[in-house]
Amino acid sequence: MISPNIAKSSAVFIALSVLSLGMLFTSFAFPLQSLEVWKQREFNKLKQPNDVIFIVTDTDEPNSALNRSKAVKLSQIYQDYQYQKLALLTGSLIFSSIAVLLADKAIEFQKMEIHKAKLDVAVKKVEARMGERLYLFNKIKKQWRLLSQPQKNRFIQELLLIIEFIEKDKMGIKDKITEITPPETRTIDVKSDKFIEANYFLDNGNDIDTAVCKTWKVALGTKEHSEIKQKFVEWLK
Amino acid sequence: MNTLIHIKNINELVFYAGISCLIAFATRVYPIFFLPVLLLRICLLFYCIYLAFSVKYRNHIAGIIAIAMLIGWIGGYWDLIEIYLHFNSGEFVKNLMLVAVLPIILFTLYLKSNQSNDKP
Repeated sequence: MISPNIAKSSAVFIALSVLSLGMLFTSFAFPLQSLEVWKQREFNKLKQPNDVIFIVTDTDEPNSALNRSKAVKLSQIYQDYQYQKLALLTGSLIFSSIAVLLADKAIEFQKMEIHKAKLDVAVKKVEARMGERLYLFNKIKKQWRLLSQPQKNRFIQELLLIIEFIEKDKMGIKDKITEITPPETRTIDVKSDKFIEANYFLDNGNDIDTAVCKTWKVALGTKEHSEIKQKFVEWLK
Repeated sequence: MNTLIHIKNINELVFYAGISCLIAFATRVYPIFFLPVLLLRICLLFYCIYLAFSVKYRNHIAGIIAIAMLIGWIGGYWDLIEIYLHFNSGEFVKNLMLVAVLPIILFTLYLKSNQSNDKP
């Protein structure tokens, strides 16, 4: 009956709800029945005057307290708005029911939009990092072309030394961590958001092991660490 | 965060209020139905209290039904209430003043009263 494309625009949903609410409150306003308003002055036991107001409609039973010869007619309503009121009420019912039917789809659509905006922000951040990397890589390429052969060799030796130093340091950290923390068994949530966090750590200059340690808070050398690392490597590909 | 959920709840409220307002109009046109409708309203109120204290996921539907019933009840008789307030505004204001002032008087009396029973 109702196409899902209508639900995509939440403006329709809001307009329907506003219409239904407005029609309900306008239906309250006009008089439903023709009626008369009578005022009668009565006296207490202490002889104090008290004006009593009687509202007499067509459907009401005759009131014995009202004496029409003593009382004064204040106002009378001849015209009643029964059909208009009923039409407004039925309109409000129809619009509100359509709005309730559309509501779930509109809410889902809004949620999807919020999720998309968050993803776009994350993608833009990653793209900025990649651009920086490319710039640096091209800079190094240019410098590499200008270097002579002995300079290149010396640079490679320095790099190898740095890599050896890092690996030794990593081994040392591994030994320390395995000594301190006992192996634990617990459930771990492996989600795409966590992978993005780990990728940020990688971009900042950390290794894969340390990135996994920092995001999932798992000790090095455990089974969980290895499993998560495998998944993370698959995700990176 | 997600404002459309509140609008959906308001729409449900308007739907139930419309139904109760329609019933109120019916009772005004045919006054025979006044007592059964009153009983139905009381039963609905008890059902709302049961829903509010039951262990269910959607407990807020109880509040929606109760508020809708009240809005429909008042809205069905609104033109009469308007006329009554127009011709009896003095009495209405007097009652409002009493409601506002009586607690203050009672509170001052309570503060002024000597509560100690030790004195002779």
